[in-house]
Amino acid sequence: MTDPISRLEAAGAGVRPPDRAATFAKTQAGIASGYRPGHQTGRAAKVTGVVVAVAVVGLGGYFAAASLGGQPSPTPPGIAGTPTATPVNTSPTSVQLKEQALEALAADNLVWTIDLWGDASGPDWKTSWLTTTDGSVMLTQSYTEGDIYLEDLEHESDGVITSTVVHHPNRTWSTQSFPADSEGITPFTTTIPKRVALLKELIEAASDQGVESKPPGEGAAAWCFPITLERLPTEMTKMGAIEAEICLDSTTALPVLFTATYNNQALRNALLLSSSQPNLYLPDMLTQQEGDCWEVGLPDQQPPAGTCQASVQWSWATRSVERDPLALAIPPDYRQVALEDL
Amino acid sequence: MPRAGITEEELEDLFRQHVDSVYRHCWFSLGELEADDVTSEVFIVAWDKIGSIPDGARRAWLLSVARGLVANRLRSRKARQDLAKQYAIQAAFQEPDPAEAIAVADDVRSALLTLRRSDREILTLVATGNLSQAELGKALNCTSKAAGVRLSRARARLDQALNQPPQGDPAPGIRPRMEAAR
Repeated sequence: MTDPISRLEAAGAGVRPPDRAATFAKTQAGIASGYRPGHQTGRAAKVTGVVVAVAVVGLGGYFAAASLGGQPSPTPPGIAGTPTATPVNTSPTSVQLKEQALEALAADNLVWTIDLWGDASGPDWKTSWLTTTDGSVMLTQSYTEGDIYLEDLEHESDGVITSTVVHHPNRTWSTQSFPADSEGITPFTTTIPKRVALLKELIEAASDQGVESKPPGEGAAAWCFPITLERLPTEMTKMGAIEAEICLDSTTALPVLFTATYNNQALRNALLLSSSQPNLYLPDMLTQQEGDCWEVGLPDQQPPAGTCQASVQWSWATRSVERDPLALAIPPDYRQVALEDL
Repeated sequence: MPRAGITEEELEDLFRQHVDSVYRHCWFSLGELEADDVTSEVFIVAWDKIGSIPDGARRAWLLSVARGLVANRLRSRKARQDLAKQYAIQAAFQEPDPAEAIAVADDVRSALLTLRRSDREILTLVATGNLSQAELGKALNCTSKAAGVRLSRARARLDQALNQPPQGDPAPGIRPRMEAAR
């Protein structure tokens, strides 16, 4: 039995719920109580409370100002054997804002991922908007003249919504997001940190990453470079571009920026770093999370010295994108930009 | 009654037919502690919504829901862990990765734990749900072809994890790092 899938099947062959009847009873109890995954307190409930809002700034997992008042309960309220959670909000169970700091450096934009945790059964999310403290309201997939606009807003089956807004320091935002079939969440606010602080954090985070040194293996002549994806996969579908960073392992430890441009109209099967590079397949790239690294082997090839750029193309067969990719002007040396701003 | 729901009898039938596959997927992904809860949640969602899903597509649909709910759990956990790191909160939010709670005595499961979450996900979907490639595509919300490519690569990585010591020299080519290495 050498096939890994077969071995995996065998490993899980005996795995069953320890007590099916109890599991089913729990299911029935959950239904009867009105509990729905992603609907913390049931559809009919009108509850006020605190929504978890975590603003995550770009590299390094820096947590910026966050309104943190509670956590979604991992266990459904009202189900026998589990503690009844204090009602905290209606659907969705929580909201997470992720701020991609690199965007701010590149195009004075911030990308916010509004992560609506639904019941995972499908794209329920229909309405979402951001409201600024000055009262302007951004509607889904609309464009508003002025200094703030929603660049893109789409839903994913798991409830991830991504929007891009022009960054304004110290602006307080509130957001309300309503899934199609329930009441929505309690608005929350979070403050976008000062730009300078944002940049500082980004630089520190990037510096912490450093240049990983990995000498070529003896006889293998394989140089490995960590590539860090700077954006979440969901953003790839919206922004039409990703940026990756190759920190070259060379004797000079010279960082080399690598810009990957994604074109959703190109149906190519491989990511081409260069003609000598092996292929990266899109599904693998898509499943990467922010901060994940890839190692790219360059057999029989010395890493180039200095700064270089390479274009990247890959297929986009798994999802349809409604619009052409945005042309993001990402400076080739974003660290320099950041330093100048500071 | 739910908009696209099913009757209690239908729910019971559905549960009887698919609970093992759903539980197994959750077990591989989350460990024993949460697998049972998430399994229940999958069928709660089904109670409301599976009525519009054709019989032949229900297994893939259920596993797709399981996948999403598992992802929610994992994201929730990551957020809490990140917060704990940021604010050095040790007691309130720190919790072990339930995937780590899976018994690792078995070589296969040990190897599985070295893979990225996405690889674990697709492998366990196939292994526990016995899904066809088309069903897998539906469960992953991607095309059948893309699912096949992802499966192929995940399978190769599992195979590599099973057959190679973890500290080997990196082979030429592309290789993801383990999440734990981040």
